[in-house]
Amino acid sequence: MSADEKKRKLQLMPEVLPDPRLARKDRDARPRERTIEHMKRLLALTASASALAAYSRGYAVVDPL
Amino acid sequence: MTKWIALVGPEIEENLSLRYIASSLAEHGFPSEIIPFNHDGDFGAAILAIAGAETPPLVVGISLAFQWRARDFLAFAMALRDAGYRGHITMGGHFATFASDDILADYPEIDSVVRQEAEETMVRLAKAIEISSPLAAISGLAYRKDGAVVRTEHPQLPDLAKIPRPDRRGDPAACFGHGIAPLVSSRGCYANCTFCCIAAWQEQSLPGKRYRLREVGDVADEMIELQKTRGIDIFVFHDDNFFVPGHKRNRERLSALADALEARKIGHFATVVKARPTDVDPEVFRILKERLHCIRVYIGIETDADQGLKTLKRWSHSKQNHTAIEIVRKLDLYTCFNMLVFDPDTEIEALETNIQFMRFAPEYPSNFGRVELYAGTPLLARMQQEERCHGDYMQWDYELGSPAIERIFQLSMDAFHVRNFGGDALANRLMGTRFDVEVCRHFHRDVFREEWLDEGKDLNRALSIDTADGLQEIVDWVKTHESSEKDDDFVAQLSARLRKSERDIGHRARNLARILHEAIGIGRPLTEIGDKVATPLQRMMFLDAASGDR
Repeated sequence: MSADEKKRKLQLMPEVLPDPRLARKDRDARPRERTIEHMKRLLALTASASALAAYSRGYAVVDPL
Repeated sequence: MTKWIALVGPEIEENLSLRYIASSLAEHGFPSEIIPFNHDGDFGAAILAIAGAETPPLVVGISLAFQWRARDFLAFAMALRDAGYRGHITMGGHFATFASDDILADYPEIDSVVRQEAEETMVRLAKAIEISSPLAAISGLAYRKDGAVVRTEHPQLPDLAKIPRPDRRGDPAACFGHGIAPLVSSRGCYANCTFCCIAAWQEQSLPGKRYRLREVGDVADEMIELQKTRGIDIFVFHDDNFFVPGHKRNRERLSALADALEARKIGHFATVVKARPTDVDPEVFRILKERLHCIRVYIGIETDADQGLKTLKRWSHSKQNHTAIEIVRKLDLYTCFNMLVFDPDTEIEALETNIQFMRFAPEYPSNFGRVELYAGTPLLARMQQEERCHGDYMQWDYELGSPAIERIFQLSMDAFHVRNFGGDALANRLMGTRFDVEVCRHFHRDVFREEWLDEGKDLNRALSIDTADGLQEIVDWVKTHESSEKDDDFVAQLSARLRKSERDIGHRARNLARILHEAIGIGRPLTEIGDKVATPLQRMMFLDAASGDR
């Protein structure tokens, strides 16, 4: 079984506890700014980044409500 | 597929939230794709599944199943827009319900939030988007209009007897070849703990009661169907609480379910349930074990300290925690539990009481952590009123009740983080290993050996005692070292020992899983055993093929 197949196979989750350290990350920025940075990290990680680049129009900050 | 709905969320297990919605949508002519986003590595593929589709979905529904993953799913929505998706994006779940106004204010990428249970709301939303009719007529929504957030009226809760059963596409999870399926026989919980977003959510719709039940006949029908059509032997009840108030009512309900299953001639099966300590009663649990073949019960111990029980409003006493463990011990029923040893009011005495509880029940897997402040909960409201938390609606942090306890907490997180949190955390993995043993014990009596159960218990005991010792060491260090100057050295030394224990115990756990795997010869354990180990059957088949006998 490939690593990808193993990842996709359904499992039985243990009763996980939330990680308290997540609440302490990036406290200074506002939610939207933190999310933008997180999105950039996730995009950088993805193996499909090059495919996604074909669709991207370049991320522009959209004024929130 | 000309019109379809994309449903995005975690799918490590069958995501019942998404799958109930998928069934309801299908019943009304809206096919859907369930797009898993379990971890960072899924991000790109999930975006492409939608952005790269020949026909874009009519609606993208995102399940915000865990508040701590909100950032992942909001980032997903942002990236989806950037990739060119122009359709309607909605989000749902407990956190989304409570934070709907903030989400819609900060994230113009999100068009609406489905508040409360979503089956009927999603169908109405899909229909409205399809024909471009106003959203104002749909109860249970929050959306933007003319620059303001509009919340429509509170929705009626779906009738559990009428909504279609969850979609069961794809292969089920399995342990040693025994299919595993999650299901629910109820929604909500009768308790009202201060930290619980489920109670707060249900309180909005069913004030004072907070739960509702399915008829046991209907539950039995679903179990039979799952066994016949998907080979399910292990039924994991993901009810917020499998039990109702009152032991008599539980005896009646569980007996009725067992009767219904027997009348329908269900094959050999096992169940997994969750309980509060106050639900644990000798006769109720005898029925649970002997007639419903429960092989694992998660008991919500959370805390054994009087102070903690009060802060969290657990509606229970330390004596009930101990009695619960004694009852399952007597029944030889596998249980696991978590302990929220750090809460806003914890003092050293309470922490030491909880450490003692870990020593009281060491043969059962457990984990410890901190009470987190979830959106919509009374505990968060209290902490905000007391001006003791900081952060924002996405995530709140707080300092504990005293500098000493805060220091103990920080040292504990430094030393135990590897053991307690994350996918590879041993505290979580051992829950799986013990489950492997119980599946063997229940379904493969012919090959099962008691020494494997003894080893399983020994592993749990080893980790629990090691955890209790380590925590106590931290407490003693803080008590005797007023200055934190040497804290880093202390943590480094303690961590080295904890990591060694984890390697040793983890190695033994993998060995145990391999032994079970060899003995059973079918499927795989839940425990990750690493290498591709051929089972005796596979080896036999290989030899047959090689010799040309086939």
